[in-house]
Amino acid sequence: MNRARRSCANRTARLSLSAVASLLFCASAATALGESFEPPTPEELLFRDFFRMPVGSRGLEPSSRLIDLDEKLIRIRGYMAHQELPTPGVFILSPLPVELGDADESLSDDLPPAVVFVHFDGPAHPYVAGLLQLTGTLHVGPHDEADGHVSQVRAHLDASQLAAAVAPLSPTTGAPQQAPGRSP
Amino acid sequence: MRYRSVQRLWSSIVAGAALGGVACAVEAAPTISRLTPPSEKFATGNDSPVIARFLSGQRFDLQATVRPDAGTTVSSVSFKVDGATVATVTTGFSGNRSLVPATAIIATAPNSVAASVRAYSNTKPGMHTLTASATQSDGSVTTATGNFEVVRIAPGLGKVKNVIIMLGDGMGAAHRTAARIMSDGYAQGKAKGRLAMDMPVTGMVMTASLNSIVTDSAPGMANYVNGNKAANNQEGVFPDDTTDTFDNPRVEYLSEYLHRLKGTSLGIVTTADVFDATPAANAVHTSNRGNGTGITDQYLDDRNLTGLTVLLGGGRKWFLPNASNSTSPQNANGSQRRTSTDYVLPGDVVAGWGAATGKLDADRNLIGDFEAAGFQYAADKAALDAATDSSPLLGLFAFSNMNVAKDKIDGRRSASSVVDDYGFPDQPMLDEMTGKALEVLASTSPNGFILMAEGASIDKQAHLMDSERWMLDTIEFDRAVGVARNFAKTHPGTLVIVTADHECSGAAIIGASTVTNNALQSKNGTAALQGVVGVYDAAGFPKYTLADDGYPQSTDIDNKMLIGYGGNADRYEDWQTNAQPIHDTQQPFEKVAPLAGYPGISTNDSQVTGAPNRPIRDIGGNYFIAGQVAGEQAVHTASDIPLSAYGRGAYMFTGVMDNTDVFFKLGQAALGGVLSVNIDVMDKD
Repeated sequence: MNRARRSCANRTARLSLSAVASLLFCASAATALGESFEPPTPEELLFRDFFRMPVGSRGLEPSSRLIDLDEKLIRIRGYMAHQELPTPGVFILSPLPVELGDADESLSDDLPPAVVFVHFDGPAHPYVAGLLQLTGTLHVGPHDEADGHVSQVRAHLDASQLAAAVAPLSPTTGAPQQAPGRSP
Repeated sequence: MRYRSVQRLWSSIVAGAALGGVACAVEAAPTISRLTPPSEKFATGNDSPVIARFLSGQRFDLQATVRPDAGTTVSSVSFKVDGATVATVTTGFSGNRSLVPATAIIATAPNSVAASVRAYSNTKPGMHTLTASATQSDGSVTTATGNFEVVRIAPGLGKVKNVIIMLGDGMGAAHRTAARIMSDGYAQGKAKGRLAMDMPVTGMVMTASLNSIVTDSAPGMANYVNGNKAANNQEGVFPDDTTDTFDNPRVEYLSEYLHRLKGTSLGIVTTADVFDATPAANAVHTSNRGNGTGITDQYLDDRNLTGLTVLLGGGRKWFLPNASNSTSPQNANGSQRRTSTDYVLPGDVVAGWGAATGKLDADRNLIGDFEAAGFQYAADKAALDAATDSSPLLGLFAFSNMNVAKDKIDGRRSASSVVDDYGFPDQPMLDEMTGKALEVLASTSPNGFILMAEGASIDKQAHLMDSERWMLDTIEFDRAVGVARNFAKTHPGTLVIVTADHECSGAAIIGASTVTNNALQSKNGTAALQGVVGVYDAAGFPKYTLADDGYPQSTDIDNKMLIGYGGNADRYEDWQTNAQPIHDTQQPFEKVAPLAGYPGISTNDSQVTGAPNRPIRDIGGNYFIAGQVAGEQAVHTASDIPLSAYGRGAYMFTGVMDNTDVFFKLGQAALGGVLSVNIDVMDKD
């Protein structure tokens, strides 16, 4: 590269770096002024869109939609599976309310094939009844879970996403509400 | 000698004797902490009750756990029966013998070992003394003594060719009675019809396991089909002191024993996941009923031992290859296979029993391997109906448990979408599965067969205290019993027994509603919902109407049957049928106009209005019933359960019997012939 071209390339690089720096500066300034970047919009995902239905004779066949949403931010509604022995850092989101009798049944259970293993940092989460809505990052593919299952679909939630997820929705307004819990 | 000298002399003598005695008590010797098969003689020194019994020639393993003194090792263990040496076992593996570290206790008992002799058998009827002598490295020897009995097979009358065991999981007397009230009805105190399981011969069965008055389904089944008690969670084995869950001392199953002696076939039919305890405890030996991968593998791999010819139920997830922890979406096929639940057998078990060694192969295509072995594969009812009778048959109709009878029937009636939501819209009923199994077994088994057919969700729904669902599952089970009964009528030499592994939930028919169904729906609160329970003569005779499909048109009738639970957990109760398997009726699969702004939420649920909403089953009735056990589910109970028998040899099954006694009656009937004047107990017509 001759000196003129090197000089041009260097100037272009400096301009690019300056542009990036400017953008970062603007972003910081905007944040400082109270403006914020729009967070990514989660994609709506329904359980019925997970796999080809009815289930095939040789196993589940992930839909193209499920595959496309791998590693993406999604929003999904379902019911926390009621487990006798919940696992730290994981609960199961199911399209139908189900109760798992872990002690007597082990893995001979009533879980539908299309479920989401919801992962978060923290101890086992107490059971929350009712329809839940959660937003998190989707992961598709087999994974050995600590409770003995092999999950096919997982959602990873950070702390704020978890807090939002475990507030069940009101059936009349559809808005999150406090979980009623179980009490006499 | 002066008095004090005598005292000192006497004290010295006493002290010396004491020291001598203490010195004798600390003489080194290993300890035999477990002797298998288990016996009261070993445990307490008493000759009775006899714990371990075997049919003549039935195979079982001998084993001893030896704990050596500190700083020593165990050099050999010798087993004797009635004073005659059976085998001497030294370190490592040699044919059907082994001496290996007792890995479950070695942290606290260093150098402990488990010494085994695999697949021993004895043909001499009567009591036998089992002696194990352990030698440790310093030459010390210790001996332990136990006993076992060999049960004689007597010459009898006509032999039983086909054994059909109908197993209602968790089905006690109340479950049967409720099914009769619902499906047949009563008039002025008389049942207007009978269940198929209301057979001419009845006995009562004690169901305790090796380690508890309250069993679970693993020993609950195994005890019937190998004549020996097993510990809870264990099937076809005795407990041991190694961490390997596939190396426990085995007891030969009825299927293995008769296949070896007579060439019989085995059929297993269940509405549960086929790896579950009841089906598995007819063919697979493991101390962990949760080992799904290894259990399902061994169904195929050891079919030469059991004669497995038919396997029908749920559990497709174990039969699909699990390639890896890859994140590639194409591998998300639902497989639950994993290495941690798979099997590889030690050399002595393989040598002694002729069992397959096994392999850690989560990526195995087990459906493909079944097909390669000549099995037809049916994934739904249509395929089941189309299957031929002349080849072995594998049917996997759900990923895990099949849907319960109510949800399958509602699906057929287009009254519910539960089976569609699960992705398995075309699941067969248990009677359809049993019928097909019998057709295949009859065609392929010239030497006879054993069929075990299980109504699995009687128990599962009783755990959930979902009264209507276990009642309908009991009716489904009874319809399958009817199929077996009809087979026995047309196939001489067939014995049908109907029994249960244990009772579940302490279910009791406490009465009937004193109000109409409409009125019941408006009741709220403890006083109101208790108040509708008609007891004594106020219960009357609940009247259900059956549809053409044989199931009630509705389970929410006026004056419906009401159920209480003696083994219950906390629950709410409103006496009404739950629309879904559990909990409320909202569905994220929208069926009606979505709530504005939240597409996908169904609001067409009149039961979900009001505060609080109905996220917890039946909470809307505000009638809370405190449980007698902690947790969320009702539990098994220790109650004896009724057994019914039909066909050849049925009269052998009267009286109060232990569940292990059933095995010896079956073995006697199949090999020696039935012991009864009336060898065939059939319908009068």
